[in-house]
Amino acid sequence: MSAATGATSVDGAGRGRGSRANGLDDDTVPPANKGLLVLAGILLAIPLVALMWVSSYNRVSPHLWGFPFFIWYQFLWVFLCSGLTYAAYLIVLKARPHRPMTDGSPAGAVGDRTDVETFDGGIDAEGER
Amino acid sequence: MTSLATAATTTGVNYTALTVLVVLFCAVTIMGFWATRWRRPTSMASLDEWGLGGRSFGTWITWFLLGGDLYTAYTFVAVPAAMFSVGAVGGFFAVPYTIILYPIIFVFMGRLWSVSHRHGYVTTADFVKGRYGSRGLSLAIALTGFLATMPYIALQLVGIQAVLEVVGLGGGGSWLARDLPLFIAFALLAAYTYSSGLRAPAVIAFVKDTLIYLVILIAIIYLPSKFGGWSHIFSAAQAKMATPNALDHKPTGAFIPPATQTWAYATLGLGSALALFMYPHSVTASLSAKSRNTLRRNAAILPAYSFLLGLLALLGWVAIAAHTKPIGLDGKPNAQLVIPKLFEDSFPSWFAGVAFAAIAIGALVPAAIMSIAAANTFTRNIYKEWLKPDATPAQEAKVSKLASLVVKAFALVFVLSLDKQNAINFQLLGGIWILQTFPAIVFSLYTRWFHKWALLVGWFVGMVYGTYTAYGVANGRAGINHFGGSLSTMPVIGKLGYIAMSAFVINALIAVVLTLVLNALKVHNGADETLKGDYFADAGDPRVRPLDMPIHLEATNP
Repeated sequence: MSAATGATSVDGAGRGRGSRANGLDDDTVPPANKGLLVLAGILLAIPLVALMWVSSYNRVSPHLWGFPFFIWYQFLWVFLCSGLTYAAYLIVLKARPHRPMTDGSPAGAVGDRTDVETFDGGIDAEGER
Repeated sequence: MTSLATAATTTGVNYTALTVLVVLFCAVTIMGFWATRWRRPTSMASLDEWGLGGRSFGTWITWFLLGGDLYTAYTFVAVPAAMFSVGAVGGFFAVPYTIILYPIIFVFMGRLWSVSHRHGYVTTADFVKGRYGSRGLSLAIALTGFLATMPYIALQLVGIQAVLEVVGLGGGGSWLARDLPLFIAFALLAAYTYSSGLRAPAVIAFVKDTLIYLVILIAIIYLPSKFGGWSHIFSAAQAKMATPNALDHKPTGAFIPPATQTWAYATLGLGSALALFMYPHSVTASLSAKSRNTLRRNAAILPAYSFLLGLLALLGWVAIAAHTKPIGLDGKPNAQLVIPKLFEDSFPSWFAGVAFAAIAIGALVPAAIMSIAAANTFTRNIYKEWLKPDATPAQEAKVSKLASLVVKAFALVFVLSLDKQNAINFQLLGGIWILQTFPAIVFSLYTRWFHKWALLVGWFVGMVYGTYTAYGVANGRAGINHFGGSLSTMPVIGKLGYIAMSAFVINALIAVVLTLVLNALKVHNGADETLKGDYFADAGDPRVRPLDMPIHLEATNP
């Protein structure tokens, strides 16, 4: 996605209601370190892959303190997943620092809001991933 | 402590347990009414205050509230019951489900919180309407949420009923003697939810979660030594699950999922995880958080409840080793009674009373939040949208309070007048239905590529497919011809899988294909009132619409 900065926003001209003097625009995705976002996404995907791959753990042995592998392995993932999610949280905070927004509610803006939205159809699937 | 020697009797009323139960119940009732003064708002006359607790809850309150909300009394009763009667595929999937749930919501709930914060959305249907300007799609989301929540509230009553039945109340006699305790409990719940709104379950959640942790940890440490240790418990469970059933001569259940059921286990977990935060009550509790990061931090600490749920599931197998006989007051076996029965048989009466209170109070928190969420959905997406577009915030709050009463009354009538199996069937359907709103809500948090009509048609086909397929599932052992379970053969893959996931995939595929067609034909895709930056807003960022009512603590909280 290219419209990560206000200056290059493709549709910024027609949708300038969130723009402000310093050149930033509320109608853009706040800039982010894409590499770190990908890393966070991988950390979050690991528990999903591990637990959806049921045939990797639907067995009885090795036992641990009398617990079948199937049981204790999934309990283990409670802790691993919690740790991975927290790590992803710290990374995401670093990857995309919060960008304060302008006051998007000038009087009369409600009317503007409804008439400009003909979208270009492009996917803007940005995200925390 | 003098009653340690009191052995629980299997017949008659267990007065010690009942007294403990009643005392704890009265305590939370008082707390529920007091909650209206807690973090006192300037006014309760808006949905932001009554229905979302002022959008002011920090990390720990949110942790208790979401934990109390998502891990319902019905879960506490039904998961061990499934472990006890059919084993791991039907029961233990709750563990991977509630583990992978959190990375999934970490990804998208922050966005939903941010855009809702900016635009004052109270429900997911509010968001969809803002995103596409589509009343039709918004109504579909709202109705689905409403329909899926109603039986869920009713099932919380089933949780309370299970406890009352084991205590010895609710059997036989006139309908008055049978149903009066449940009636009183729900009337009190309705009264303090009416006056305190979301603050009531938030306060009660502290008690619920503390009791649940206490009871389960004590049980999981004490009971295994009483019944021959974990090795013995697991072999007893393995033996029971391998025993052929008298009716169909197949094994009773699965000790661990066999190779033929790995798809079933995985899709049950994934489908349930994707669906859970589509429910209005999950969204309501999430939007009451005071900042975007409150939710993300909670994604890392909420798994503590999943650990607890796993232990509770294992108690279903402990009950096998303990030879627990879950026989109802009507003399018929009822697996749902297995956990209350295990506690009554294994612990002194006073502690059994504490355990019963944990389950009964555990029903109140989700029932309150669900009724508030259903009421918010009705008010915002049906009343204000279709009946009275110029409703003021004060009128919205008033309608929502009344709607919460109606919703609870309906749930009560539902459970008392119809067979319990109906509530369970509808809950099963509700899980399938609610997942069909995922594309319209979550995909739309990321992109406007999807066309609103494509999403609507996808939703419709998913609903029809899911309902029809679930209708066709028979369960010979229970003597049920329809709605006998949530598993069916998946199209293309050909293995048993969760019906909701099959319907979801069909739904998403239709949405993609129709979007390609509609975009090619350049059909107008509604007006979007959100900005890209809205999806990253945090507490302190200005709201798009100034609120008529000051939000609780907004001025004083940094």
